[in-house]
Amino acid sequence: MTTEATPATSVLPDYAPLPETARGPALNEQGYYVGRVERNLYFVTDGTYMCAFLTTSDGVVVLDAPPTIGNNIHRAIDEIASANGVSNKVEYLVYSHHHSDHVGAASLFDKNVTRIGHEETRKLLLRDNDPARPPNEETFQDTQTLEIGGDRIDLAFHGPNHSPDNILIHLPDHDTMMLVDICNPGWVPIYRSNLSEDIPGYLEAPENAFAYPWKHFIGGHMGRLGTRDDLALHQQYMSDISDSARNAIDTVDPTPYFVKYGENFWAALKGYLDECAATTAAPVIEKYTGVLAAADVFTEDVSFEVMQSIRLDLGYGAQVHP
Amino acid sequence: MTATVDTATFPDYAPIPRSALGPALNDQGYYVGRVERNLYWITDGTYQSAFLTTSDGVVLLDAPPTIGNNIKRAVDEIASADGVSNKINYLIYSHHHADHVGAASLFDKNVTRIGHEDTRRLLLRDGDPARPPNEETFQDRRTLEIGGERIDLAWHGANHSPDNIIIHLPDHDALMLIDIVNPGWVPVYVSNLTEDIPGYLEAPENALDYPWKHFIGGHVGRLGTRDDVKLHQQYMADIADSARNAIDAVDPRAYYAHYGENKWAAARGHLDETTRLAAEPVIEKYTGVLAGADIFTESTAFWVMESIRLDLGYGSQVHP
Repeated sequence: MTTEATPATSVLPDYAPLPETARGPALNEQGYYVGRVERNLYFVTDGTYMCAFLTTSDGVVVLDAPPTIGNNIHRAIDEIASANGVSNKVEYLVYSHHHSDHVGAASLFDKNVTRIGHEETRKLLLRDNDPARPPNEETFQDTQTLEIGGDRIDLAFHGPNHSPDNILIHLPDHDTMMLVDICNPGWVPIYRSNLSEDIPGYLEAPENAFAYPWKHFIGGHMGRLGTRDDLALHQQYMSDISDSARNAIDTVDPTPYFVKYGENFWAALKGYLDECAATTAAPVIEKYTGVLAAADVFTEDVSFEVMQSIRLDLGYGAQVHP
Repeated sequence: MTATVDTATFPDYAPIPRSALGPALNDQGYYVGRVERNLYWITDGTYQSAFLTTSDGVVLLDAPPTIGNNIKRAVDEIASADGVSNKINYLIYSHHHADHVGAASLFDKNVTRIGHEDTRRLLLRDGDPARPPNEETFQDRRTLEIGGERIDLAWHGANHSPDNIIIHLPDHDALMLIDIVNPGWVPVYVSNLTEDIPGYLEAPENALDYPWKHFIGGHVGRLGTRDDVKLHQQYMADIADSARNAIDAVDPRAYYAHYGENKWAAARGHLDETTRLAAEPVIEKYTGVLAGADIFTESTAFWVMESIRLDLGYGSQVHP
């Protein structure tokens, strides 16, 4: 038996209003929106998650399958295929990375669909052993070019970032870049830099994406497509957090925390590092409130993780005991 | 400029159980003790490293900057008492993080640095002069025979970091595995700031597969035992079980209804409440058993809960 926890909504905190730039098109009655990216490339969103598909003469290529969109992926494809008089049969499924929230509807598609992704995605899906996410049989290591029904898709792995297996999906003939869980156009990253495992790789990812030619950005989250400006704004936000984190590491004094808590080192550590995160976040929240949605909700979480990476990966602020 | 804080506003926490504490530090702020025979460990109360005195010089296992030059003092103290060489000829890296190997540059340029191939890759990426990349690498396993002593290195996959290894000293009944188990204490923040949670949860089992009595965890002021590793394993299993219950129990709809188009505010309300519910029974069970249970269990529960959702797909519902 489970008990439903119902929150007293009066105790939930208030946050700043959303900037207009956070919003995407209205959803239909079934709870999705499907729109053209360019030519035969389309995106589908439920307002929080996003995937994409390409209609080709060799059937449909689906790029990610978030479970929250689920069967609405089928509905969106049917709607477009029927309007354009092309096949609605999904023949290929490309995985951006292994996480359930982006590919957890993979098992909705025919067993004979060709699943393509990074070799590490296959390894992690074999480990996770989730029937909702059949491991991709087709793998690649660094780069792979797919030619499907006359359309070109370039896959590239530039190293771990959000996850150890997250790839770039570039559609050069559609002026489009798909890179999931790095930049949420119009919004800040959620929790610890979109729950990222490798922060140096996460910080470097926008630069890798910019090295390709494209106009349209598919980020995997929220209700609208992005642009190069959205990615540049995200990059600036993260860079401001990094700068501010260095400043916080230099200025926050750990001494009072260790004095107060004595032998309870973990209490002192928490007091000190939470204060570093708050000091890091304060000027960034001020700068980005009204610019990126939810800057007041998640900047402190992102700041904490970036600050820890600067300490542990880069060794910044490490003082060798004399 | 230094920020000044009002210590009266600091929260109070449960007293530390005695089992959390290690031996007293000396005037220089360290303690050095024998693990077994010629294997020694050093602590400053928060960090640990270890060393082996051999006929081919000293082998140092990790070099935390907070211990820093006290590593040299500890080695000198033991070498002088035992009448053996104090020259550090080998340095083994457990993983690349600065807090465990950031004093590496204190040692002679000619020291032989050994670690996982991914440690080398990450240290080359980080470009930190305090942590010269290891020239000697291995992929899955490597046995070192130094001055008649045996050290087995093994990599079982990513856990705390992508490159974190097991250092087994079979002739000293000792196993060194850093940043997984803090004997007597809970992990700090998000499971000791871990990147790969499935690997982190599996790591104690990998360690318990080897024969050993003494556990060097890299943190806190005392050595550990097999019982410490098992207690940690139980704590993490309890968090994982409780996280599944919490994922099942919390209804996200109230948060999405309250926050409307501010989806991130709703996600925060929903997931923070799930975390709180996941942590609650675990905090109750482990307060007085593991130090810091009331401080960091919620943070660890959050990260475990996210891994259960994202890696394992638990609680995922496909839109009809």
